[in-house]
Order: sequence, then C-alpha cells, then structure tokens
Amino acid sequence: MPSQPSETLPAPVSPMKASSLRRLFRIWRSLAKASLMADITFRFNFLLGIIRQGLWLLVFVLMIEVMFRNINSLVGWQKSEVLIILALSRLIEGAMHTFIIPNLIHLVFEAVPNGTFDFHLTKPLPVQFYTAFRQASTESLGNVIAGILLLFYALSLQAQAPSVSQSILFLFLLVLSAFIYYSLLLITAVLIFYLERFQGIWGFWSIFSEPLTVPFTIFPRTPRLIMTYLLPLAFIVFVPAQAITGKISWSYLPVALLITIVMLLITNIAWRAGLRRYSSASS
Amino acid sequence: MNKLVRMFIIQWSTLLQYRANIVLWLISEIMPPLIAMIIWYRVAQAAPEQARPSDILAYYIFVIVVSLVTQAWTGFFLAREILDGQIAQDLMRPLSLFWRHIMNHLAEKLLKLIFPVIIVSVFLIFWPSILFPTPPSLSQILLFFASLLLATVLSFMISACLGLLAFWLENAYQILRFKDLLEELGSGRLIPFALLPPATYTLLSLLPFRHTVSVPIEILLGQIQGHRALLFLGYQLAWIMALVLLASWEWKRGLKRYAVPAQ
Repeated sequence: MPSQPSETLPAPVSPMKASSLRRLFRIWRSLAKASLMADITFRFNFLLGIIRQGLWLLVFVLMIEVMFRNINSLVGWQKSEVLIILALSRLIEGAMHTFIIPNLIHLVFEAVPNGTFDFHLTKPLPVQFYTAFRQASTESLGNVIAGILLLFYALSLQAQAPSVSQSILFLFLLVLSAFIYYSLLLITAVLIFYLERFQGIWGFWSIFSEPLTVPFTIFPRTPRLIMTYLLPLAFIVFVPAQAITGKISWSYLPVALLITIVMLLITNIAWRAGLRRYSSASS
Repeated sequence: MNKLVRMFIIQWSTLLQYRANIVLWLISEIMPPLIAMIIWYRVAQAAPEQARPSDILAYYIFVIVVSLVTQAWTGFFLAREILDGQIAQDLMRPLSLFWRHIMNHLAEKLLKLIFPVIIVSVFLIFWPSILFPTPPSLSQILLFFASLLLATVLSFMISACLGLLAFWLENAYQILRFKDLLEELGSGRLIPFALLPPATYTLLSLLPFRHTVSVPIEILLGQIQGHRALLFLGYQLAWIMALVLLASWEWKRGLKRYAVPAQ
C-alpha cells in the first residue's frame, strides 16, 4: 500500500465496510444524480423520449379498447385489470431502462469489446454493482411516470379498492419482481464474456419484455409453466398484478421469495464465472 | 452487373459473421406478432362473430412471414453513415452507396428468407388448413407475390427516406424510433385491420405502413378481392414512386449542405 497523507484522505475502508449497503446506496445515489443531471441538459431528447413513450402507451390503450369492444373479460381478466398489467409493465420496464439496461448496453457494446471493462475492475466497489448501476438515463422516465399514472387510473376503475393486505402483498411482490428482472438481465449480459461479438444479446431483453404486457393466462399451459418457473417472467408483472386484483393469496409469497433467491444465486455464480473469462481487449 | 454481384457477395459474407446475432434478431422480431396472435386468438374465441379464431391464426402466421420479408433496417445504417461521415468513402467509389445498401438489404433478406420458407413449408405440409381456412385462387396467389414485392420495396424506401433525414437532423435515430411505433400500429401487426373500429381503420390506411405488411396478406386471404386488389397494388406503386422522388431530392439537397464531421 502506498503511504497516504492521512489528514487529507479518508481512512481506507475495510472490505466489509466497502460493500455495506448504506455506502453502496449513497454512491449509487450520487452516480445516478450526476448522470440524470447530465442527461436532462439534452432537453430535446428527453422531451422526444417522453412523447414517444406517451404515444406507445396510447397505442397499447387503443389495443385494449379494441380487445374489449365485444367482450367483457379476457381469460378471466376485466378491462381495468388488463390496464393494471399494462401500467405495471410500463412502470417496471421504465425503471429497468432508467437504472439498469443502459449500463448493460454499455457493458455489451462498449466495455467488454473495447476493454474499458478494466476500469470497472479497478474501482474500489463490487464489480457487479458498479457495472449494473454506474449510470442512470432519463430516456425512459416517461414510462415510469405513465405507468404510475395509469396504475392509479386503472385502480380507480375497479369496483372495489384493493384491501390493505392485498396492497402490502403487492408491494412485496413488486420488490421481488425488480430483483428477478435484474437477475434475468444480468445472466444474459454475462454471455458477453464468453462470446465477445455476440451483441445480439439485447435481443434477449426484448424477448423478456414482450410478454410482460399481457395476462399470462392467455398462454397455453406448457409455455405458461415455462415462463412461470423456468424463466420466471410471470413474477415480473403478472403475479404482482394478480396480487393487487385479489386473485392470489399470501401463500404465493414464499414461492416468489424462493424463486428470487435462486435467481440471485444463479446470477452471482454466472457473474463470477464470467469475470474469470474476461481477458481484456488486446492492444 | 459484375460489380453488383461482387458487392452482394461482400455483403453476404459480412452478414454471415453475425449468425448468432441474426438468430436472436429474428426471434425478437417474431415475438411482438406472436404475442399479438395469442391475444387476438383468445379474443376471437370469446367473440367469434367479429373474426373466427382460425382466421386470426392464418393472418398472424402470414404477418410473421411477411414482416420478415419486408422489414428494412437500411435507414438506421444510412443515418449512422451520414452522421459519422462514412458516406464520404462511398462518394469516391464507382457505385452509388444506394447500391451498397440495396445489396446489403438483399443479402439480409436472403439470409432471413430461410426462416419464412421453413415456417410456410411446415404449415403447408402438416397443417395446410390452418394456413388457408379457404384455399386461395391462383390469381390471389399471383397478386399476393406482386404485392409482397412492392411491399418490400416500399418498406425499404420508407426506411431510406427517414435515414436520409440525418443530413438535416442529428436526431434521425429518434425519428426512426417514432417510425417503429407507427409501423407497429399502422402495419396491422399489433391489431389486425379487420378488427379496427372504422375511424381508426380509415386513419391508419392513410399511412404507408398498411401497404408494407397487411395489404399482401389481405389479398392472399381474400379480404381484398378482385379489382380492389389491383387498386391496392396501384397505391403501393404510387407510394413507392413518391418516396423514390423524395429520396433523390433529399440526397441531392443533403449532399449540397453536407460537411463531413472532422475525424
């Protein structure tokens, strides 16, 4: 260790402390704040992004309107309930595109192919944390806002407001959903360490996001089971939506918790294996 | 001609380096219509008076096939080359850069055609009745192929015209993303035209996108019949001519004000 003038620099942090959640949260907050501020100076892009996401929302709402022109319920889901699913999908996807996905795009298209991933390794931070949370982008904030507004609107259309117990279960499941989505994204992003030209990885991400906008009960049995337990997409939007509409009970929570833990474990194993493969770019 | 063939071979071999990527692109292109198919199938099951489930199935199998044939990504690359100054190299080459883009497009199409051909043959052999609830006449089939060809050219021209906007706008990518939105809705991929309420139907028919996916299918499935089919081929042709004129105007005007970004 180089000798440091201890009166100007803070004392070196121990490894345990280095990854304490509070410290990571503080770091993330300042990283996110800085990049959001930088982003918002490109007002035109920011505005166009919001307009585009608003239009997408209108398109989806139009689709739901057409769907329910001649029917009252689709595979057991009413119009307002389908709107809740749409709202949640906007909210969760918007959040992922704001905080996680731009960083994974950077990893796949920039950091690994060009070798700047070296700098991720030298930061005094857990590598996975820095890679996944290094920046935030305002581009999809429109989706987050639209999702929240639509959620409250759709809930107001419901004949019965959700009970307190339903709402708490919903919030729990929503938090787990973020972890599960994060895991799916990261596990696929790790492939870049094995296949350095495999930038089609983003294709996986659009595959994950497509089914989120619909009630999973429309799918035939086998794909539905696969998308619930093997590739747990159902837990991202569909299961929380079931909770807020009173279609499932608390007995679902342990299942969701178990799946979240398994997914996070797989993510970390995959991530470590991936890191060992990384050999930097030759120069 | 010889030059064009060589250009095609170059584009083809570049493309082959990205095989794994292409498979994933393909799946992510198929996903939206696949989900839409399942939704409208369930809707048709619940309310068969508007459209029968079998019609929805046939329509969407063709949507997947036709979109794979007609979709164009030229505009994105064109915009990128204009913005980063790469087209300067093309200006010194003996062939216009449009030929390179057309050859790239053809190579891409040829590679991606493998999948529509597989899909259609599997259905033709095992479940022909799913593909064609009522068998099409020979004239319908011929008109379909004519319309499909025009749809491919039209889709390429729409993409190219928007890409050329990069001469004026640094945000040409943003414009292309708005196009994706309109295309998803206006081409009949998200909601079949047969199910749209009248006002939306008329409004969306004014856009060119219906002619890039929905029209060939509507002709094949007999939703557009007889001389109306010829009329729709005329619309497609008119759109193409208008956009060719627009693109060449953009190209001439754009080059005049074009300054290559400093390296």
